[in-house]
Amino acid sequence: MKMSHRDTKKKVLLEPDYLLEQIDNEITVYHPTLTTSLYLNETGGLIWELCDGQKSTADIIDILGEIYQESRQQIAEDVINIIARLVDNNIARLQD
Amino acid sequence: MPPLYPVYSVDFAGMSVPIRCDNRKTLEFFKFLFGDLYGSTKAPSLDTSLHAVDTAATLTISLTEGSTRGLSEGEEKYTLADSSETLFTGSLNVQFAAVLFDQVIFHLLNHLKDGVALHSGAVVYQDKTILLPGQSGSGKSTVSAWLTSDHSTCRCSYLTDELVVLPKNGAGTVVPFPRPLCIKAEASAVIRAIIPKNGEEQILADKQGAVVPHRLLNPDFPFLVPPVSLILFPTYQAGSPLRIEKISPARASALLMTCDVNARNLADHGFRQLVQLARSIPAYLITYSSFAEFNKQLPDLFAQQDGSA
Repeated sequence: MKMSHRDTKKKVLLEPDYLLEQIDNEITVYHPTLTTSLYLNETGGLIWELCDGQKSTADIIDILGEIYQESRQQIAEDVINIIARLVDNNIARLQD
Repeated sequence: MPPLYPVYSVDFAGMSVPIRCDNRKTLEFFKFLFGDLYGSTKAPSLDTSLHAVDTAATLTISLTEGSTRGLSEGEEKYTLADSSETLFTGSLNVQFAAVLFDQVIFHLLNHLKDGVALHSGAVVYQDKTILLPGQSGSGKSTVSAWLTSDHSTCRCSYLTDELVVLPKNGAGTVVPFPRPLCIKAEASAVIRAIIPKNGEEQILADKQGAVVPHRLLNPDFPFLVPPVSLILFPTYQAGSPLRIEKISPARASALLMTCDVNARNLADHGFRQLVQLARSIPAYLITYSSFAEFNKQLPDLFAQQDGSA
């Protein structure tokens, strides 16, 4: 998906019932119903942790941007790309 | 009364599929495809219900009377059927072999719950098993064939080009599904070029591809299968130079899940078992378009697994 400005304000909800394994700060996710598997690198793992159903993409960009101020632009791109990937794989959805 | 042929049982990972052949040609075809797998034979019988095993179907390959439309002159038409329907009709060619393998594998794995079945080639190099997992078209068969041939400086013994079962609590052991190499049409010329000249008449080849007895490439066939020590995910990409990339266990786990064949039979779809495998075994992506550079780069990679490089 291509995320619009409005999409970035929506809350990011993870689909329930996924299986997750964290290995060396990276994450493998598998959803048995969707039979979808996904790999998230260290940055992706951080973003995943912040997808708690309450925060929007913009909120996550702000939080990580505070931590990694010198690479804020890159962080913003990474967050949008990874959340779009989660949505494309039906592992997450966006909700007003 | 025509002669009755035995019903052969294809046995794999504790499961069986009976196959009935109704004449000499179909029996030869069966033995060509399943020579490493058929176990017990049962007395000939016309009653399929006598052959009930773990799986539901008895497959039958039979000569079919009637129209030979679509076949070359002189070709005979055969039918593959289970107890309820005709599955395929045609000559005993590469496509017939592919359909028969698909059917046998489906019935073997249909109720398999004692391990994870993985779409994967497997070869043995110096008492270590190398897995080559991948989805259809990734090059499992082609890479397995090349590594097995005497063109490879890291010549391996062949286990399978299609399927392994990782037994539950097996600690790195694998059960390979040994069959002839099934080479798709696009790769057929490359593989036929590495077959010994006197072997051409032993392969089954047509425009759909080739079915190649693995002993033509390497007569050595390991009796015991050593534990897995390396995972290589092959990816064919036209025009690409050989690229070898080490990948993390998390990434390998996600890729292994895409090759999981019997996920629906397992409580967690085999996820934990495949994660455990990925945690304990080094994994690499291999992107290639030809085998020209394999002999330059693979020996170092294989040596690293010995801790000697």
